[in-house]
Amino acid sequence: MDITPETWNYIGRYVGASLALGLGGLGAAIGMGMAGAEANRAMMKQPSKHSDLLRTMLLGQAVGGSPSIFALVVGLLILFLPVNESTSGMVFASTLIGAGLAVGLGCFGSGVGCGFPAAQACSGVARNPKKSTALTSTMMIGQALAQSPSIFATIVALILLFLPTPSVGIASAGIAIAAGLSMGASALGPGLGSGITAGGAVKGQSDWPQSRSITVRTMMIGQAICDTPAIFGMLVSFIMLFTLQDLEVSIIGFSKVMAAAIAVGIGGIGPGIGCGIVSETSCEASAKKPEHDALMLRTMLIGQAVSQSTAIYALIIALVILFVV
Amino acid sequence: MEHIGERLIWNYFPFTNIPIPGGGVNVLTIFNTLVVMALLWGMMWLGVRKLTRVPGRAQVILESFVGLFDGLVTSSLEYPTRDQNRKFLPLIASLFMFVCLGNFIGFLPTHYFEEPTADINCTMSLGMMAIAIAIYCGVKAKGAGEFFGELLGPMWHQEDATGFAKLAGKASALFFFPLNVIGEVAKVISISFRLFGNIIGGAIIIVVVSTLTYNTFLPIGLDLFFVFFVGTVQAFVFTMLTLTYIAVAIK
Amino acid sequence: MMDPATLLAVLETTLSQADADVVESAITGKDLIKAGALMGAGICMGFGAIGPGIGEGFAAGKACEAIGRAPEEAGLLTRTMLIGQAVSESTGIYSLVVALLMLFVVGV
Repeated sequence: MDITPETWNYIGRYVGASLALGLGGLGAAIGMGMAGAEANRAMMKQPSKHSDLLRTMLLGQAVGGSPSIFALVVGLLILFLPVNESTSGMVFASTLIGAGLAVGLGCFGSGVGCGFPAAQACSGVARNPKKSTALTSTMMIGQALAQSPSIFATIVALILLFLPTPSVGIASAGIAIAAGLSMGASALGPGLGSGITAGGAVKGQSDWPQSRSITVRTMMIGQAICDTPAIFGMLVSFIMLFTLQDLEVSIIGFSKVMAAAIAVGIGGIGPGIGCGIVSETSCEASAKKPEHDALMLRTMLIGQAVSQSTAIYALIIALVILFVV
Repeated sequence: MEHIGERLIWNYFPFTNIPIPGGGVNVLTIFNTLVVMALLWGMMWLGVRKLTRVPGRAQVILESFVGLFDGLVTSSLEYPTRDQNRKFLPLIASLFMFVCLGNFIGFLPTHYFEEPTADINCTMSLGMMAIAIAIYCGVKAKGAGEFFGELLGPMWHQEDATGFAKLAGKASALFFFPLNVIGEVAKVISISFRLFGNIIGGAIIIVVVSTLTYNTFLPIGLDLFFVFFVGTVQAFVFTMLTLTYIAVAIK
Repeated sequence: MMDPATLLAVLETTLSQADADVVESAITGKDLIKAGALMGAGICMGFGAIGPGIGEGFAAGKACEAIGRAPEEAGLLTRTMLIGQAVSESTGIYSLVVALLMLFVVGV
């Protein structure tokens, strides 16, 4: 059987859209499920507070659902993007698959991550219903910041869909998939980690509501540092998309970009989650003892910086693969 | 967007054909380093020009800045006297100011102002300086024998072991020594690439997104996040790591 | 399971179908070895970075918790945290070394 450009177009559309919608929807579903489970548990303990709990849960799920909406938009674009004759074929298909990988994996992390603050907010509201407004606003700030990796991933997916990749023959296909993989996989860990951080901050604030401003500040700085692996992944995917006009047109060029993407993408997962664990406990601790917040902030920054060093090694290996070898 | 990743390199001394040793010089990095230094000199000169007992606005900002870093240095190093801690204050405070202003300078809207910290040569030399100072302070505090003896691993120093256990302890240094040396080198790499990757990543994201959106409203928000927020946080992280490496080396 | 010769032939036809003008030379075994070394380095560093990243995060998280409880011991706890993280990081450093070896020794 001959494989025509038409066949490649269909392969790309179906695989790309299923990656985007499947993975992106899966993450948000897990996150929403966590919020719903916690709300049910809280409602069982305090049935009189059901209206407050229902409102908090719905708000958390609505804000936490936006990564899946990004995935939906990009998935529909992948399915219905018009194709012109010059781009159709294998390279077009891999552009679509790359966009699907980027937005699917990126929105998976942020979707799960947004569930942590929503769940903690539900249990916090049940314990202390008078402070529910302040708690909900902290939850929403945390969720919005936890979504920044998925926004990076959406930007890369849109660039993949609407801009031409460098035309280096077979290696262009590699570049498109690799740019998507490096962005998507490296956004997974930071999305989860930022969400874990926001969960810790909401938990800390629900136990010690008087130190809200310090908790929110610690959370925002912690989440900004959690995003570092995603920034590295985005750097590598931009390098691939915009500076590789003279890549080898062979299997070596192909495996170069794929190896760099696997290194910086998969390598960003662990450090992102690890940084999230650090800032989670640090948010709780600085909510408990706001008078020691400078000390906590310093310890958190050092701990996160050291946890990130493996992401930095992965970035170095990716840059060496792309530019030195 | 075609100029992403390009560098203005001088391979020859200006107006001559004498080659620069080491394969060339990144002119914009040196220029921007000098600009940052000039800005810092100017700010400090303006700040300390009229010191009064009842401080004015600039003096309040400077005093609280110095006070913040004094507290950080004192609580990290834990030397017994105030003067010993104070000796590190100029290093740490000026490192923070240089890196922070160096991260901010790419905000200026011309191609001539690039962040010097978006060049690996700059961050790598800052990182090597940090580790070299840490090693120097460690050798000065503990003596060369004890400081470098720690590189041989924990089992080298066990006094009560005899016979085979002692031999195995000494042999374990063959394993620990290369690992610890690589660990020291990895400290330089991780501290410098962290700053470099964050700053150049932010700069490239801003360039790409503002080109794609034809410089409408979006780049302002991106500048606020990547230049000012990430820049300040990363400058603080760099400074704190330098301070912590020194603190670990002297204890 | 295909034998290597058939696999090579299949790869070659796929590549030449994809872009017949640009691929001029056939894939040699040396090319495959280099490609394998590159992929190996990427996989090695990528997957090797997961464990140390999470593990160091646990160490630092516990240290933050402990400092929250006993702030007066902050110096000691920070040093313990750094030592623990340095030890957890050693597997990450092994991955780095192995990846560099693959890039500069095997895959030349």
